[in-house]
Amino acid sequence: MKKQVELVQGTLDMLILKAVSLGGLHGYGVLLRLQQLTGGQLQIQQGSLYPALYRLERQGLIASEWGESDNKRKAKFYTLTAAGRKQLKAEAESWNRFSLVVASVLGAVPGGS
Amino acid sequence: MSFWRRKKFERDMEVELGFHIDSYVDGLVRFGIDRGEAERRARLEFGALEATKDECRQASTIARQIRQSLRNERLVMALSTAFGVLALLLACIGLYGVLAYAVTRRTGEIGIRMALGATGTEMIWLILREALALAASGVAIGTPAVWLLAHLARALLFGAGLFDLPAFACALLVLLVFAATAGIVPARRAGRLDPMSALRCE
Repeated sequence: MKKQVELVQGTLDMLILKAVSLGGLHGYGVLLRLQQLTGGQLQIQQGSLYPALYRLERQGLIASEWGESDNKRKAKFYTLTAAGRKQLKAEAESWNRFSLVVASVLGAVPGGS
Repeated sequence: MSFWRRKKFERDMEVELGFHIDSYVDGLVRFGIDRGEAERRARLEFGALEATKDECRQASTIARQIRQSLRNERLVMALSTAFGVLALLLACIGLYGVLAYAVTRRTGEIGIRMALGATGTEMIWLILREALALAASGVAIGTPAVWLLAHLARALLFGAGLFDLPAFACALLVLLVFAATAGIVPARRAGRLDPMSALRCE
């Protein structure tokens, strides 16, 4: 059970890194961008973004800075760091490998080799 | 985390999460949803606010605690480095002074040697040898001192043995390079001396 949660958590971290890599964003912007990129298909508990953002910042993968949002309010903007870029690349590669392997297993047909 | 940092952290988190929820509510209202209903939905979709805050606190405090607990050690490290560089600089200046004095003192001798056929390179080596001899005597005194002081430093340095060979070799190399650098300036002066004027200066 714990493993499952961690997998989801790891995936969320990766998606956040990807969203932030496309340009600096505040936490709410991360949500909007993820919804936009997934066509609203991904169910994200909005609050869960923030522990993930804080964790990623703690790990030095993203950096934060206070700025002004579109609606002229004070907001914390996140940007990807060099370490974050590297981590995103590594995670995306291993995710792609993983999904290929799983897809090839699920795609097996009876009698085929 | 210190009291003020915790306060600031809480304030920042409050502003950040508030911004998120307000923005979401505003979005729903723009979409034509009644504000009361929008607020209810925003709270629902955000999830438990207090639990989220707790997770945020946990996610960010651990690193800060580690950083803070290492603050004294970092300070000691920076100070030792600064004093080490200072000592190295003073040793270089001292060595340079001694050798420059030696060259001046031995100008006549160098003049005679060169008049008798010694080359400039040989004179450079004459002085440089003195520099290296001084450095070597420093190493001879320093090595047992390092061994003795390592007993004291062991309490401060995690994982450092009584005689850390790579570190010691590095220090030795740096010292010799700096000794040679400090020595090369007066040594070159000795090598460039004109024998005739050197003989005359007695």
